Amino acid sequence: MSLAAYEHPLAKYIRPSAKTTANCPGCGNGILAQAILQAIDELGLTLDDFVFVSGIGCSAWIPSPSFFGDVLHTTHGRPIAFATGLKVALPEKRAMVISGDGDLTAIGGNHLIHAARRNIAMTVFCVNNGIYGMTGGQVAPTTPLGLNTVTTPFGNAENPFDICELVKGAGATFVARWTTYHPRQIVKTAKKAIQHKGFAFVEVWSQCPVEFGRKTGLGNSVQMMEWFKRVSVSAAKAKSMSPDELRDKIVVGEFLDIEKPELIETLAAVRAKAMAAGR
Amino acid sequence: MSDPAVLTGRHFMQGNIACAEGVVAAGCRFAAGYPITPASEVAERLAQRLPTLGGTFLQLEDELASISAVIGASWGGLKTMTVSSGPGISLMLENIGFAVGTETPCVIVNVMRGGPTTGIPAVQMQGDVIQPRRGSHGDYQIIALAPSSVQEIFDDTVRAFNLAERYRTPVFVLSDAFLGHMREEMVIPEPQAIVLEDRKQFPKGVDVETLPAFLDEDVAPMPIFGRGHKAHVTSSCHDAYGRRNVVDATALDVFVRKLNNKIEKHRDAIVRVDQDTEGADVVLVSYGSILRSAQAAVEAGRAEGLKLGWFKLGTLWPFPDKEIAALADRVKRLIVLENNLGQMFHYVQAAAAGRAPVSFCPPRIIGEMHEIEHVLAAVKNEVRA
Amino acid sequence: MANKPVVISINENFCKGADGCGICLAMCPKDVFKVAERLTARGIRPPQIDKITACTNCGNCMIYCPDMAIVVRLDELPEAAAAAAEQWQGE
Repeated sequence: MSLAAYEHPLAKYIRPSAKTTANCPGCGNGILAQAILQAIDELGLTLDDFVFVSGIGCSAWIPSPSFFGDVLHTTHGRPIAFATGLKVALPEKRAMVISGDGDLTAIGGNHLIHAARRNIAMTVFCVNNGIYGMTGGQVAPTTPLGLNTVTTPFGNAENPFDICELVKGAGATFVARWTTYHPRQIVKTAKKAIQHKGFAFVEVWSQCPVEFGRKTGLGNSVQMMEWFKRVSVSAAKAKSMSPDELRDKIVVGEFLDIEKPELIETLAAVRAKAMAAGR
Repeated sequence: MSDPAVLTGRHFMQGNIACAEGVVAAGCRFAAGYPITPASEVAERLAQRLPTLGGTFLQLEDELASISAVIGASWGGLKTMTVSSGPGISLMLENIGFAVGTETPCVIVNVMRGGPTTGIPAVQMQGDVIQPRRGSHGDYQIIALAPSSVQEIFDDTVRAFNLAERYRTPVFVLSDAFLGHMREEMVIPEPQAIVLEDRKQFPKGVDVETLPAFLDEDVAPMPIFGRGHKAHVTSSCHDAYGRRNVVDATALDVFVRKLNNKIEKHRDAIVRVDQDTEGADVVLVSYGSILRSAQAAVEAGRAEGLKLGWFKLGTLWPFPDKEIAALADRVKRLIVLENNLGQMFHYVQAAAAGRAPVSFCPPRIIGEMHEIEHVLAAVKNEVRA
Repeated sequence: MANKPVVISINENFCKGADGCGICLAMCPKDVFKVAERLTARGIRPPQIDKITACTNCGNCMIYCPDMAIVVRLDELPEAAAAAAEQWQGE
C-alpha cells in the first residue's frame, strides 16, 4: 500500500514550473540529476552558489529547466565556451556544465580541450549515452565500432573516443567516470569535483533506452543498467587487464586529481600586475 | 599609474584604436576574440587597456568560443564585445542569433575585408552589410551602425553599447580595412560628457517564476545571473517567462513577432541618417568609408555646376526606409555608392519605389574607393539617360 | 530489516511507469515492489508496494528513480507511522 505522496527532500531544488521532465521513461539522465542535487545538498551549498550551463541534447535538459537556479541553455557544442565568459564575469560562482557526449566531444570538442588545457575552474558532467538521442539515434563519437545506428545502418566504421583519456591529455586536473548504475559513487565524486580547484570532468554513462537500447537491440532501461554493472571495471582492476580484455569494458572510478595553475586565478594575478604597472 | 578609461583629448588616431577606446569609454570590461586581419589591432589594444582597468580580454580558441564567452559574460552582468572580420563573423552567426533570441546585450565589431572566403584581408570592401540582417537563420531584427570616420568609429562604438543595453540586443559596428587602418584627427570628450546607458535590471529578490524576463516589445528587465533571480535562459522557443515551448506554433508566432517588434517599434529612436541635399536633383546615397567618395564627388560635381547631394546611411539596420522614401519624394534620382556589387542598393531601391529612380554605382575596382571622375561620369550618364 | 517503520511514497504524477521504466523494481534487493494492475490517469502502471516489511531502507528505489517519484524514509509523521506500524504488526 503506497501512501500519499511526500515531497522528495531534493524537491526544493526543482523549478516550480518544471516539476516533470520530458525524459523518456527509464532515461538515465534523471538518475544523474538527482545525484548532482544530492551532492550539492550534502556540501551545504544551494543552487544560487552555481551557474548552470548546458548545450543541446537530452542531457542538456537536466538543468534546463528543472534546476531552480541560474541556468543558461546554449547552442550545440558551446556550453563550455559560454560558461567561460560567465565564470570570468562571476568568479565567485561555481560554474557547472551538464551536457552530452555529442555536444561536448563532437561539435564542442574544441571548447572541451581548450577549457581542459586552461584548467578553468569548472565542473563538467559529460552524459555519455553513446548516441545522438534527441535527434533520433544517429551515430556519436562514442558509439561502439560496428554498431548499427540510423546514420550507420550497415555498421559504425569509426573508433569511439575514450573521453576521459582525451580530457586528461588536454590538461584537465580532475577526471572521473561512472555510470548511472553507480549513483552513490557519482555523489561522492561530484562533491569532490565541485570542490576541485580547476577543470573537473566527470563522464557518466547513461542509458538511452529508446534510441540506443531499443534501436540497437541492446535492451530496455533495466537491461542497459545491468549491462553497465556487468561491464564496469575499476581503474585498479583495469591496470592488470589487457587491451583485449578491456575492449568491451567501461573503466570506472576517479582517475586523476591534481593541481595546476587555474585560469581565473592566473587571470586575476595578470590583472593585478597590469593595474600596478600601468602604461 | 594606468591611463584613465576615457582618454579625453584631441588625438591623431588609427580607426581600430579609436574603436577600442570607444569600447573602454563605454564601460565595457570584457572582450573576447580571435586574431584576424584587419581587426587585430582592436583586440591588441583591448588586451593592453582592459586589464589595467580591472577588465579582461580573452583570446579564445576560435570565433565561436569568442561570441559564446561574450554572451555568457553579458549574462554575468558585464558590458561585453567581440571584434572580427567577415570570415570570423560568419563563424559567429549562429550565436549572434542566440543573443537575439535570448535578448543578450553585446557589441560585435566587423572590420570588413575583401571577400568572399579568405579573399584579401587588408583590402577594404563593404561585402558584409546584409550579413547582420540576414546572416543568422530565422527571422529577426538587428541593429548595425556604419561609421565613416575615425571620430565616428569612436562615437558609434559607444552608441552601439548604449543601444545594446537599451534594447537587449546584439549591435553591429561595421568598419572596414580602410577605416580601421587609417589615421585621422579625432576628439575624445570628458567622461561626464559621454552618456552611457545600462540595461533594465530585475528587481532585487524577485525570481523569474513571478516576473517576465523576455519578449516585451518595450524591453523586459534582465535577470542577471548570480543575484538569486534563478534565471532560465534558453535558445529554444520560449514564453515571456523563459519557459521552453517547442511544441506549439502559436508559441513560435509570439516569439518571432515580439523579438522583431522590440526593434521595429523603436526604429525612429535607432535610425540615424545625415545629408547635404540642398538644391540637389541627384543624390548619392552611401555609407561607411565610401561616403567619403560620395562627399568628395558632390563637392567636385557642384563646382562643375551639377545639382548634386549626398545622403548618409548612419544605421544600415534598421534600414532607414522612411528617410529614403522622404528623400526620394524630394529629388529626381538616387545613385547608391557602395564597395560591392549592390547590397544596400536593393533596399534603397525598394524604399524609393514609385518615388524616384535608383541606380547603383560600384567602384571602378571592387576593393578600392570610388574615384571622383568615375562617380561624376556615372552621374552624368544617368542624367543623360 | 529496519527497526523503525519505513514509509515508501510514490508520486504517480512523476512516475513514468513500470513498463517503460521499472528501475525501482529492478534495483530493490528485497522485492518490495510489484507492478500495479491498474493504469493511472496518465496511462502508466506504477510500482506498488508488495511487502513493506521486507524494506531495509536501503534507499535504492529513491536514489535510482529518474523522476524523483519515490521517497523512502523512516517516518515520524503520526498518521504515516501509525499506518506503517499497523503493517508491521500484521507481519
